[in-house]
Amino acid sequence: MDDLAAIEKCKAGETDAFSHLVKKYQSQAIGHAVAILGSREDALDAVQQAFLDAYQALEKFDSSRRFYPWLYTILRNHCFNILASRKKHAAVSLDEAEILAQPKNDSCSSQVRLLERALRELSPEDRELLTLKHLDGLRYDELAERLGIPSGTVMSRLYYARKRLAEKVLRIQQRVEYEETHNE
Amino acid sequence: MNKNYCQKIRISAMAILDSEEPQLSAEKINEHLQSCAECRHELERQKQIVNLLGKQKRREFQLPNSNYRIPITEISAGRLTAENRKSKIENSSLPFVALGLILFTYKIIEVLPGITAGLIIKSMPLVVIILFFSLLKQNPFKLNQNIRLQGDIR
Repeated sequence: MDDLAAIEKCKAGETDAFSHLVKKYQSQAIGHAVAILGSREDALDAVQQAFLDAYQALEKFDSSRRFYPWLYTILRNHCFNILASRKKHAAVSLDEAEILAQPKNDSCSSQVRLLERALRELSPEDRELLTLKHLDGLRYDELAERLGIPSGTVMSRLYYARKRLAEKVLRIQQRVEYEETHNE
Repeated sequence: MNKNYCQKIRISAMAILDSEEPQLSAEKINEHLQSCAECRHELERQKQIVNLLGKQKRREFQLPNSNYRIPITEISAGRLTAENRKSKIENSSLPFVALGLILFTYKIIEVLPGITAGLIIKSMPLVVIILFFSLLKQNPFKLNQNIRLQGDIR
């Protein structure tokens, strides 16, 4: 069953069809929420809320659009609300969840760890943009749709996010080297 | 070199690397890069980061586990739509309305003149309530485990 058929069935009252969408997209949605929130538990909450909100707003869904980008906009709203409430309640301990897949090859693992640390030190907005671009391979127009900003803004924001990431990577590398030389 | 122009050049060069439409033409970018070492250096750093990111994959999350569930059954049961929720509330409140009416009628009868309330009549409300919950197969003293879930659904 494709997404549109499932949505039409839901609108027609066959609510079981929604579970098809949940099963299809929940893992992807959690990955995206983790990239913004950096916490698995918070990501699970955000995804659950996003699916429930999407279900309740299904009548308003524009059938000319794809389902997941629409769900994503709901999901990122929840994620940024969670981040805002975290700022208010600063002393929340986070369970850190990894964004990147661990490589099978050991020689690449230090590189992945380095990048994971650098991504974690970025702002959620930068992290979201970079992971959508480079891990999901979205084009500028798709990024613009997901983030609700013009393509030109995507272009410049990507440049600055990469610049900040490059700086973080360099700084972490220097820190690691410094620690290694002082531990010897 | 004009800093703003340098930024424009870099942003456009990266757009070309991403196979997207740049703000400035490739000729202008090449022309500028030949004379600007700072831009060449910055673009080299950006390319390295792009290469590093390009080798990565997003971590996949295995679901569902025992602690987590999107309430598919709640959704599937159609409890979330406003109409269904309303009719469900109406249906579930009917027996309680009936119980209220029975007890109200009993009170009216009880206060009627000429009726002496014996033990059987006095214990009637209790009997009715026990019968009512037995028929509904519900324990009135049991805590509702679904309160949190209902709260989540909003």
